[in-house]
Order: sequence, then structure tokens, then C-alpha cells
Amino acid sequence: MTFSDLSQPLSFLGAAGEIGVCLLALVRGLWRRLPWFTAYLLLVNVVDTSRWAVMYYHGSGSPAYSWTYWMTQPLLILARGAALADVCREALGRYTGVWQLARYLLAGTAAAILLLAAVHTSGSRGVASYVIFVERELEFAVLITLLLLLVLSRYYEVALDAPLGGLALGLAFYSSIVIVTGSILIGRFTLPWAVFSSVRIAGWDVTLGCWFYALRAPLAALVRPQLSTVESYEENTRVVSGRMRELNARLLALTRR
Amino acid sequence: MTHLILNIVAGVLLFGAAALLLWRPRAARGHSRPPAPAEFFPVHCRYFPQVRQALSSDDAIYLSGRASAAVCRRWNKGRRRAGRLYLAGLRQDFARLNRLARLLAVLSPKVRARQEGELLLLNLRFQILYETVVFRIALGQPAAEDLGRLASLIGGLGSRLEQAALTTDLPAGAITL
Repeated sequence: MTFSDLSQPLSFLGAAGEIGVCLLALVRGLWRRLPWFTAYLLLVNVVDTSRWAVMYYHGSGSPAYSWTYWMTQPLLILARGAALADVCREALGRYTGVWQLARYLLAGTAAAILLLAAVHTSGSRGVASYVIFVERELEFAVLITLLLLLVLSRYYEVALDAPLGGLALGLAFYSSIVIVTGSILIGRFTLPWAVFSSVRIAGWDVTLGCWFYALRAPLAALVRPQLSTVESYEENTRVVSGRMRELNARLLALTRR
Repeated sequence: MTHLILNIVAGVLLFGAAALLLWRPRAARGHSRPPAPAEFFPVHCRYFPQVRQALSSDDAIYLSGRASAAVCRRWNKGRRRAGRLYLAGLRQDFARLNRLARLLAVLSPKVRARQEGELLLLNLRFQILYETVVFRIALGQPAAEDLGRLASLIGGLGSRLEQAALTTDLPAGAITL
């Protein structure tokens, strides 16, 4: 069995998975909590249906299919960015104080990586290689932003409950697959297209599996936390940081004796 | 080639880190409960008088005149171990208070980036300094007085925060632990 043989059943599995996850998201009412993520799932279905239609009429090796594929890919990447922003907002948005701080951090990190990506990709030639290059850099931005979100969630002990955890895991997994396969394709290794394609499709199938698993149960009712007051926060944190400073000064004195 | 390997390794490591951060022990899943204020109060620093007795130099003087060298060595080893364990307890107390500070930030409608950054840096600094002090104790440096200062400092912070936490409502279900 060759990789070309493998990619077809994997593609069918992926197509069925996309429809299944999208329907499950609609049944669970995911759009109420994650509108952009739901829109992304719908867009994936629309884009893949149009790609299949072009492939059916023109063939997978045709310029029409290639053009459709590479022109719709940036659209999906942008939609993934919006889906990630949705996950971030849903994870921390209820905690208004922390969210105000986190969104600047997350947006700043994403912007910095995108700026680096723009510098990296400026010299590449050809639509396909350019899109792969940009795609890889953008997936780096997705993965690092997601990682920062998870670090912030851990730091403030805000758990990513279902379905957020599974959705984030799926996003992270697919991003890493794109980074690894994209890097191999761009690098000096000559990776056969069939291998590249099969690995990506298999990665996408696993991602859909993660999302399907995350959406298996009805979404729990959203609990809005009862926030305290700004005065209480300011007073208490002042006490904590003052004591911590004092403690560190003592510890430092101990190490110098 | 180096660039290629770096990118692949970075992709794999970033995913591994994300999966690790997403992983929650089975016990923590589905048993989310709001933390009780008492969970944050310092515990170990309250036992300093007992530890001070164990670490005091009076005992060393008393033993040196009466016990054999082997017994003194064993006693010294035990004393250092007690010091280390007590220091670990103090770190636990500090971690609890630090956790309370983060909880206060999460429940605040507005946080100051500068204050949060300062708390983070102070915490990092504490961890580094703490390890240095542990190292000093392991080398056999006198510790009773140092530990006493640390205990009173953490204890003082605890009592102030106990009052703050008791007057601050920690809403049920606000944070899952």
C-alpha cells in the first residue's frame, strides 16, 4: 500500500468527520459560546466541498484544483486565527480584570510572531511555497498564542472546561502537524507530495477526533463568577507584594552573610 | 538543515508543552469546588517555637560534652534534615499565600499589569533565594535564627491575608481547582 492509496480513505474519513463535528457543534449550540469557532467549522465544510467539486470536474492534478486549493488556504488560516481568539475569549473572558491584561499579552505575542513571520516570508517565491511558508509561520503564531493562554490559565488557576480543553488540544495538534510537515517540505528534504498530503490529512483526522470527543457531551451551563471589588484587590495585592519584597530582602541577606 | 531541525523540534516541543498544560489529573476533573479561605492560610510557620528548640545551639553544646562523636554526627544530620523540612513547609506556606494573591486578581474586575508583573517577579525571586538558603543549610550553616525570621515574616503576611480573605467573598464555582 502506497501513501497515495492511503490518502483517499483518510480524506473520506476527514470529510465525514468535518460534517459530523460541524453538525455536533450546531446540535450542541456551540455558536452561543464560540461563534467564530463554529463559523470556522462551517467554513471548513464549505471550502472542502468546493475543493471536492473542483477536483471531481477537473481532476486533482489540474491547475484549477491547485489554484482553488492555494487560494482558499489563506482563508482557512485566517479563520483559524479567529477561532483561536474565540477560544481565548471564552477561556478567560469571564474574569474581566485578568482578561483585560491577558488580551493585550495574547494579541501582542501574536502580533510579534506575525511580524517575524512577515520578515521571514518576504523572500520566498511561488504561490505554493509562499503559502506553505506563511502557513507554517502562522501556525507557529497559533501554537505560541495558545501556549501563552494555557500558561495564563494555569497561573490564575482557571480550568479550561469541556469543550474548550479538547478544542484547544485539537488546534495545537494540527498546528504542530502543519509546522513539522511544512518545515520538511520547505527544507532540503525532498518529501513526496503523497507523503506530505497523507500526514496532513491524518493529522486533520486526529484533530477532528479531538473536537468530536470534546463535543460529545452537552455543553455545561456557563457560570459567571461573582467578582470582588477593585479596592479589595488593590489593598490585598499591595499587602502581598510588600511582604514578598520584604521576604526576598531577608532571603537575600541570608545568602550574603 | 539546522533551521529545519529547529523548526521541527520547536513544533513538537510546543505541542508537548500545550498537551502537558491541558492535562489535568483525573481527581481534579469534574470535582471542581471553590477553595475555602482556610486553604490559603500559613500552617507551618506557626510551629516555629518547637522547631527552634530542635535547632538551638544550646542542645549542641549540651550534647558535645556528653555524647560520642558518632551520636553528635547523627544528631547534626537529623537537625539539618529537620531544618530542610521546615524550610520546605515555609515554602508551602508562601505558595498558599501567593495562590491567594492570584485568586484575588482573578476575582477582581480590574487588575494592574504592573502589580501582577511584580508579584510574578517576586515569586520567581523567592524561589531562587529559597534554593540558595536550602543549599546553605545543607552545607551546615546555622539556621535557627534565619528560619525564625522567615517564619515570622510569612506568619505576618498570613494573618493580614486571613483577615482580608475572610472579609472577601470567594464566590462558589468561580474557580476550579
